[in-house]
Amino acid sequence: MMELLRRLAFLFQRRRHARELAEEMEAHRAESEANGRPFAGSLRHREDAREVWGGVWLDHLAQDVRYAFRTLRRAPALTAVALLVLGLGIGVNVAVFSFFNLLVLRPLPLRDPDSLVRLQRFTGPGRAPTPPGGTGVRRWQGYSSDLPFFEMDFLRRHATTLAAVLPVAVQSLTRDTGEIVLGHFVTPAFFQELGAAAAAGRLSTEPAQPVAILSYAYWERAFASDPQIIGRTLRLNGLTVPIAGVTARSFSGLAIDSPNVWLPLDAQPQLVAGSRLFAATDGGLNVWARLQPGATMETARQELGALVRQLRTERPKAIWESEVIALTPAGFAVTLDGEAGQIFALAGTLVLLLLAVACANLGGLMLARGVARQREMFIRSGVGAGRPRLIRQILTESLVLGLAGAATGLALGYAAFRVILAYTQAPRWFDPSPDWHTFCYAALLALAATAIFGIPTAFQAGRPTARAYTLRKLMVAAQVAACCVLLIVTTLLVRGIHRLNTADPGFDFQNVIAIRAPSGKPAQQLDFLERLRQLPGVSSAARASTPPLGNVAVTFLARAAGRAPGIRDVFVYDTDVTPDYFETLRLPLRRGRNFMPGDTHAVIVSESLAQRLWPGEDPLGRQLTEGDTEAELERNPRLTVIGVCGSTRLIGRSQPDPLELYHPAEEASGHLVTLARLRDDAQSAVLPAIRELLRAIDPHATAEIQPLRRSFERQLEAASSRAAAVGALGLSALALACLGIAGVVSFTVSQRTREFGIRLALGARPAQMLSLVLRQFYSSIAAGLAAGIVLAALVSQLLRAQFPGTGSFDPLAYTAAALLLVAVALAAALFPARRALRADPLVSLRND
Amino acid sequence: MPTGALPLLILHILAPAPLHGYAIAQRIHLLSSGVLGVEEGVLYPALQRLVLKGWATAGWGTSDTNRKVKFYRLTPAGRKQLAAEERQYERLHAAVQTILRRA
Repeated sequence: MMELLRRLAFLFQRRRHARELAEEMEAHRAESEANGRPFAGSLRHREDAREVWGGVWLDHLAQDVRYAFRTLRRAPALTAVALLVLGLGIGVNVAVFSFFNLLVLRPLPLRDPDSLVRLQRFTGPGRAPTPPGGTGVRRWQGYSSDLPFFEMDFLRRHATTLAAVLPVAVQSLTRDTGEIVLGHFVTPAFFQELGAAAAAGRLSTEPAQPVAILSYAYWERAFASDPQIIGRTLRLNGLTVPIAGVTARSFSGLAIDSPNVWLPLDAQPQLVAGSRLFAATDGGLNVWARLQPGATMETARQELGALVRQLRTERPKAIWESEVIALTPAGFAVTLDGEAGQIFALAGTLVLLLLAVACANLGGLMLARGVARQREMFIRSGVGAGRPRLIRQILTESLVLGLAGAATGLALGYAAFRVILAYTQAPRWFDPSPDWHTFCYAALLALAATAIFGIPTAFQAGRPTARAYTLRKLMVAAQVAACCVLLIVTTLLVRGIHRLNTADPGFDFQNVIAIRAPSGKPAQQLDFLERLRQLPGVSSAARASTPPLGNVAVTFLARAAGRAPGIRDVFVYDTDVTPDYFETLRLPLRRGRNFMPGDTHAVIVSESLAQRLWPGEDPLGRQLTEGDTEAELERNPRLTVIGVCGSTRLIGRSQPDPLELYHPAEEASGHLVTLARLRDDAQSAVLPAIRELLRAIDPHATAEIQPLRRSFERQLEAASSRAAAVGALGLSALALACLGIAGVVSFTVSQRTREFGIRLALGARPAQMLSLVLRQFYSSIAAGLAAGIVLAALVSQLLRAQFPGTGSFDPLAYTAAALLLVAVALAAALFPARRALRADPLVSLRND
Repeated sequence: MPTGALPLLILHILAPAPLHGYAIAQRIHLLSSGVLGVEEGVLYPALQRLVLKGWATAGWGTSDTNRKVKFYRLTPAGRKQLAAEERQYERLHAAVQTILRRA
């Protein structure tokens, strides 16, 4: 133990110790010689004495590092290229990881985020197979997962495992300026429970009269960070609300989409005309809770399950059969299930591919240099350096390069991350500064990269050159493979967008607008629809439960009546529509008839659904059941097909070929969205008229009018920006690979100048010479292509789930990407290969 | 010099008073009547090992010839080690003697 301490102390005073030893032995020498005896002492003896203490490896390491720095400095151009290549590869990874870190790894900046949970109601276990490649069930759960007030209140009063229950009602509100602001209605405990700090005023919603608390971002944007804001008022939905406070910049709230303003839950009915928040039995509240200290998610889940069963005996209609309350951790911005996980997996794979290209590139570079440094290596081993020492030396050099590359990558990635955050209007609480997660990740990447490009180079040291060729060809193959994947994915995305842009969606959305009217009495709804139809600029109007091209879709399982369970059960997109829907969207009715008043249990199916359920048969008059579980499929009433309409190709849905099912809806229902087809010439004149009509229902309430074309363009924009990002990656990879290939070819040519010169002198023709140079790379390019195509097929599975339109296997995309790659690779190889033709036999002979 | 004997000899020579490296080599040479010579390449690693094991400490001092030299001084642990090594050597020596006499 003490010995270890002495050794450690020695390590820290190595230099002094070495000096003292030298002095001591010098004195010894002097004494010896004074007594007429020659002293045999030498550096060798001194080192023997020092080695007793161990830690010599540290000196060697220091030597190696110093030497590595010297070598790197001596070839500044090569070092700069290596740093740039590696920095680029690590940089894109750091940028993607920064998002991952911020959203998934780092808890929200709230008090005790680990004990925060989100409560959602589900219909119970034993359900919900995931649709093929799709996420329909998740969407459906999201659609109906909020809790009605009475249920939340019951849980709040009776749950002993929950320390606090935080309901949030989300509502769009209209300011007197016409601006629509997003409001979150919360209880007085909300801010205190989350440990929120105020940038101004107080964060209290306690007073009986409604007060508003502004979010930092909204205060900044709409009030120019006015320091005198407290006490001013805000007119929302016609009601004057005093501003009580502003949250601190660092306050994240509970989810990513932060509201503009928080308001007291109790004041919700005063602000929202016709509010059913406290009376509704089907939902209305997003609910979060804090676990009691000592309680686990599991105990809470069991208790809440028991409470819900108890509540069902009191309110059998409002609580679903076998309803469960699901708890999910809420202390993080994003949890890694479903879509978020897939997106990160995809992005991570793509950027790692770029890093792979960078590493292989660097590996080629280092191998080339290794061959050029062979003389140095021979000299070093000649003066006594063992092979292990040489390998260690090269590894140290690679590691120094790798770590410097990681530093460059961190800087580049951080800059890119900042730019992306600025352009995407990220929430203000996002703190982009890298933390130890990021540093560790960058260091890990540096180590991995060093292993990939450094180890082959190091073990190549002092070996014959032939093996270096094989290794370099492998490096070329790896670059081609990774490049191939990136190019294919880019092509798939671009083709997907092109298809979205040009394919027939099955209906005409060009002149259709979706109007989300304020909820009013049924008579008002009918009146509004009637007046809307009479407007001269409106050619037809209909209502539907979810507008096409929207972000919300409802899916259920459907089964042809009389079929055995499981066989040909399909997921259908489910929409309630009024009869005018088909006319308004110009969605053709192919067979049968439209809905008529008094239709019950009648449905219209899309051609695609008819084809799936009854292939080759007449669907009219057939029956099907629809539900969310096996029990529901058995129990729910049978629905009769009365008509068949055209299939739509709706984007924004995961499945390439969605199956649609339409139910009849009452025009007066409150929850429907109104769709209106406008006449071409009257677009601008008719919108003010429609707003006028909406004001007649509720003068203050919020109405959103959204042209379907806008929804379509938004989805197209989102897809385009993704394709642009992947395309940029693909092109960078291609550029790197070109550099790599050109480098390898150029090196080969310079190594064999002499041979080429002789061949030329003996009468070889230019074409023969070129093929001689290029031939050896055909195999690596071919192997790279093959590996790349297989890998791309795997990655495109991820892609298919995420991005619609990239659907099925696309031979054209694969062929185009492969051809482009081969052409560019050959061009990159040909350029330096031409030098072989200029080889002069006399010069090359004289050189030796 | 027999293997393993050098540390014992150094410990023994250091027992009465601290000495420096050259003096240790001299002393061993003299006391063995010129039979045993200590090479520098062996002496200094051995001294370093003694310091590392904690049996001796080293400190600067001035030699008889007025040179700045390092003096090695036994620690209590060193004295214990000396006793142990002496016993060990006695046993070994006796065993070797026994064999030589009988055979």
